[in-house]
Amino acid sequence: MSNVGKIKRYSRRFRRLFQGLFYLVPLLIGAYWSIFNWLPADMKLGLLPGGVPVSELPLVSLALGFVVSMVPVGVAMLGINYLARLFALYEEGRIFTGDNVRCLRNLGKTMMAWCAAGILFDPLASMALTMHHPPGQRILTIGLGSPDLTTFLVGGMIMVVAWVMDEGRRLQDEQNLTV
Amino acid sequence: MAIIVNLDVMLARRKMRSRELARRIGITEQNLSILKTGKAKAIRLATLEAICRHLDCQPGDLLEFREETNRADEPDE
Repeated sequence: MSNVGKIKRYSRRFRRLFQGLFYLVPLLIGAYWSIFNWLPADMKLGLLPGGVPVSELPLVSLALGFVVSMVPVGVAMLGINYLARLFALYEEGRIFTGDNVRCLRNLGKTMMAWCAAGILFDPLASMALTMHHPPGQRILTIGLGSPDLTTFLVGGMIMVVAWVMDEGRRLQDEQNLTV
Repeated sequence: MAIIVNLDVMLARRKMRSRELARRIGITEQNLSILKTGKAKAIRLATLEAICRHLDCQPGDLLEFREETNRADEPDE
């Protein structure tokens, strides 16, 4: 099978995967928060720093927790959408086009935004999960970790790849207009 | 583009259609059209040789340099 054949074949699989994830991820998040109070303790770890256990949440806190989760998840869904579109283009055999460059550039920006959304998630989630606690027992956290920096760096690298692909697009355009 | 391809003129002189020339030199009619309409960014020497052979002309009969007075159409870099 030629390279283009392989690109088309595997891109079709990735396109289907990302299209499925686009709908599956918010459903899973919704399901998580809807059964939160029945989940075992180890599935709630990490939501608050220092291993502070999360008590049973009232409905308002559950709804807030879902909304707050959708901040980083919404950005992730945007990135998943761009990935699905990129692989849809590869599936059509369109490799060095302006649309591909735009998808990659937007994906890079989305990764960087995902880093910011992740940083924003911590304080919002800690407030949502502890707002029903009595005064003096509410928690506000803010943090920056290596996963956030890694995400930001990967976003930056994807931006560079987008510029490289734009050069490829220019060369392809020149090739197409060479008789 | 400051290089003008006078292919239409030579085709008319030799009383040959674009389709016939494209078939003889082994390129698609679409590619020949790109050349005729001035959209081509480059031409291979092999293609130029084939056109000259089949139209019995010199490269200078096909290619003309005309200084551009308006550079507004150049693509942004």
